[in-house]
Amino acid sequence: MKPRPNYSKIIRLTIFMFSTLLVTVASAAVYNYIYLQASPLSLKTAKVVFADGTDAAQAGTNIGTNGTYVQFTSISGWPNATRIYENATVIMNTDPAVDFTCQLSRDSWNGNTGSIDELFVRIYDASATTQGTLDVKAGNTTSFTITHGEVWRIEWRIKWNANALSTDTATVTLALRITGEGTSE
Amino acid sequence: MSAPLLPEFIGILGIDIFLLLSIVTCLFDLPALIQYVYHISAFVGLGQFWITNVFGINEETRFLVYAAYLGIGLANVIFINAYIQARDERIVWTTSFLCGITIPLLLFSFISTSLYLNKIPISLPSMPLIPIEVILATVFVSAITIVGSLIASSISSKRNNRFPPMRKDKEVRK
Repeated sequence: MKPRPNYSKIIRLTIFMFSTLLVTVASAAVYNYIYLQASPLSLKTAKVVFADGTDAAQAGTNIGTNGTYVQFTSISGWPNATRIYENATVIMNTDPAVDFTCQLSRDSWNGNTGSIDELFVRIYDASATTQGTLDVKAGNTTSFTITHGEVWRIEWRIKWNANALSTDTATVTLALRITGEGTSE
Repeated sequence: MSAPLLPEFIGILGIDIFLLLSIVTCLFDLPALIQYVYHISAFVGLGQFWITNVFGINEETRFLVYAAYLGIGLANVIFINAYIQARDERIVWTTSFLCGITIPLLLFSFISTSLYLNKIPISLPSMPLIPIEVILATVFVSAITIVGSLIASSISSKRNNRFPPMRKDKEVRK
């Protein structure tokens, strides 16, 4: 005689398999979720910050909140002559132990840029030695390592073309990338 | 991308072992209660994920909890293996169970735990992120299904007890 199929077992097995599939997918998804979780996301005080230099008033230096941003609103030059803002802003490494490697580069450059012959940004250390020079027109990049607890000045050097008009203006945005955080922590 | 394993991987392994146990016990006709206990244990493992995540339990404790859970799962695999041998006395079934389930699970668990403890980065396939609401809905649907099955099973067994089937061997004895 042919044995009767155990329907109860078949149904239970089907339910178990269906449930297993769901639980496996859910647990894998939870693992994926945990895997991508980063918490807590904390906030720290910036260790390399900008501050007003001695030429801040002439250059129209505006230091942003927390010293992580600086804007110059009145840097101007003469045609066919070089004008220098020796100390438009200073850059400070406030960490007592860590030296930070910085990379200064041109982020954007627009306006009547053809009327500018020279635009250099130079970084001087505490002993007035040049640590880096950024040629904004060429768009190069300069790197330097600011020592812990040091205050370095940033110089702007601009020369407009002899044929530049008084209505000519240009805007440049620079980016300062700082690495080295975590080397002693 | 390669990265060291999280302790949750050990937990997932434990969950999968309990799910496997529930299916295997169903296939081998063990009491229905045991099948459900194993399946509910898998849900308990999933619940641990939620608890450890919500309460922000540290990694060491999480590992110990998941390792204990995995250990219980493996002990049950060995128990079921021994139980099948004692009940059926079929060496083919026991050996198949041993070589197909018990030994691979023991080995895989040992390797996973060792990988975690030694912080060896391994490459896992990246999966699309499923919204947490979908995960909760999935678990809820699954739990409802199991509870429904449990109720249906208990009603069915009560009905069978009321009208026990006549057995041939009993007839012979008479």
